[in-house]
Amino acid sequence: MKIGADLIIDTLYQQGVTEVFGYPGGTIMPVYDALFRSNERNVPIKHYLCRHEQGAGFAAVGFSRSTGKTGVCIATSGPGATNLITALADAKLDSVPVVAITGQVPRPLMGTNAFQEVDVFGLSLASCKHSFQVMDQSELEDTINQAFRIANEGRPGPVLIDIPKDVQMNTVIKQVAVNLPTSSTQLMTEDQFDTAKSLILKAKKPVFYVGGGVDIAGVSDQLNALLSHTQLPAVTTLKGIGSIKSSYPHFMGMLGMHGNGAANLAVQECDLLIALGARFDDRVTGKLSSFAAKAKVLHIDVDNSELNKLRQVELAITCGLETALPAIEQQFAVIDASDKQQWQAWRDECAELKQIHQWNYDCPAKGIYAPALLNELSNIMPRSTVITCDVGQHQMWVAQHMKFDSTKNHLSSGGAGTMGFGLPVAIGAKVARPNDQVIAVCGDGSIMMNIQELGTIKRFNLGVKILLVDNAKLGMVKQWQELFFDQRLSETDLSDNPDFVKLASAFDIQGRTITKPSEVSQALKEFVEFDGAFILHVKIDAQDNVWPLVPPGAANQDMIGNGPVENQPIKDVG
Amino acid sequence: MTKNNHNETPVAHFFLICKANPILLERLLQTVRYRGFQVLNMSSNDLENGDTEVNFLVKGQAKLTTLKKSLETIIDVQQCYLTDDKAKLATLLEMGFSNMINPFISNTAQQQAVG
Repeated sequence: MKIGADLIIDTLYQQGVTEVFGYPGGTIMPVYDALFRSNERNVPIKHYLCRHEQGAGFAAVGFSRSTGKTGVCIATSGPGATNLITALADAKLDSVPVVAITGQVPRPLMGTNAFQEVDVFGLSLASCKHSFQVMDQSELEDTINQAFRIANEGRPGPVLIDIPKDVQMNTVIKQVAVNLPTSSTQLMTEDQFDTAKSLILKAKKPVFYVGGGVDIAGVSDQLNALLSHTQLPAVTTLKGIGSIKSSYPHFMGMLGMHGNGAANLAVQECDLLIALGARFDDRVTGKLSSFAAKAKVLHIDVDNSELNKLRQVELAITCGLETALPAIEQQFAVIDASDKQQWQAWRDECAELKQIHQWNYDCPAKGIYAPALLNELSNIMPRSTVITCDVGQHQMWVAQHMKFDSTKNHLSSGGAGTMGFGLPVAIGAKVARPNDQVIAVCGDGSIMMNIQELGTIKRFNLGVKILLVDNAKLGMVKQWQELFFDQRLSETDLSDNPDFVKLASAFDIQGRTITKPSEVSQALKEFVEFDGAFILHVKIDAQDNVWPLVPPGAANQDMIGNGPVENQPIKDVG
Repeated sequence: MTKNNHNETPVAHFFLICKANPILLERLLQTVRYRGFQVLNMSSNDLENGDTEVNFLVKGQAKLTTLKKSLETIIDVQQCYLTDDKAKLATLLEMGFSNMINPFISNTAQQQAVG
């Protein structure tokens, strides 16, 4: 006979879980006791004690996104559970399979405003793909198994399991099935396939618009093969970065609000947009009615609710890309020379756009220029390096100026845009991929939101590197205040930041601060080569902003700070 | 899609067959609100086969197809039927939309649903 808590650990282990992230507390203590005994019970699961439940949630996200496996996090009831919610909401928006286990007050106390009682199940309705509250220990095993299935099936997402303390402590006499419906796999029909092929072959100016769904479906290789066959121009979303090999000659870069000028203009000019695992997010489209206005759209996505949600498309196909893309790729494996040739003028036009809008690193500013710094880091780091980001200007600079050959190496909070994402996600990635270099590129505003996770890095001796891009500002908000709020810089000054290197040293993490462009190359070399955790604190020029930018409500072709005036201080671009 | 008489806000009817679940109605309502609709009337009925059938009338300016697809992505929802045609909706309202056979949905589906 075993108790519920032991069954929880056993079932996690059977699901292949060997690492979990969490923080103990009153109502989850039976599970932590079972974790303590997991080695002697021959179901060894290593627990990574984070220093905040949000850190644990994001570590699970990092573990998942850097590998494709399911991340697991654990917290107690009430504030422990509410602290997880931000990470779960982030995982939902970015389609990350995470299973969160929360303790709940014992069943007799539920609904009485008991100590540390919060209706986390209710909260989870809006922030998770699905959630369970297990009210009988006999349902524990199947509920956990169903949670893993749901988290990974179709469009992945977070699943929360809320378990009252007495359910964890009760002896499990029998186990029963939860009996949930299973989803059926939708395949591309022959008609859809023929129409898609015809649309592509008839188009004069087709562009692939690649989102995060391609890598989630595990078909990046097939996408690259398809691109190789067709030699067509392609752009990615923030989450699609890495799906297309950076060496692909017709890769135009990221599109959208801070996208590459060439990518945005190619999409605005195309006559067929082939959207794969993308969702026409407002940061991508700008003014929706003007987005790719000359184009027919072919949209393939596993989530039917994304099709025709924002953009009405000519052909919407609800289908997992794991089945659709290999079929399309095979169809184009042998392609007529005349078909291939018909797109040459379009390729030339796109190549010219790329030439015109290539990044310029000759910034006139005196201080360290972050785009150049990140580009240099990208050139010297091992190709297998995992880069995690916080949210803000540095996040966009990473997307613009670093090269990735796998989306599992670029972990950025896309849908939710959660500040404080970078550091705990890097912890999860380092746990999952201990032999790869993991670098958290943080902003000085964002890093303070989960700075406590330096303690996790120290405790587990994780060799997470931190590149802190510090302009002593909430830079992105400041940029918008300069542009759209008549330069009223409301509450964006962070000039009283702590000494970050001293702060890291309190956690036995070495570090260095640089302030001059002449220091960059040597400092980056030492940073990349250092064996262990390290913080490179880079004070950048506070005048630098992210360009180009599509103003809110504007069409993507109306981006500002693009072309000859790119990289200029804000007052020069108007 | 038909309009109600008061403010010309579009109205539509949904009929769902779902796995019975204590949280089911709360989950459906959350989705309806999030997608920009207000529930005007709602009824549910547990079936002998363990499923639950749910009827509800919504109004709102947002996209009905997005709401329908969102409801279909909920794990517990097995079938989802939307009636937004003005004439059909008028007939449904006249019949009293709860506890009835919807004449605009295939008989097989409903017979399965009502057991």
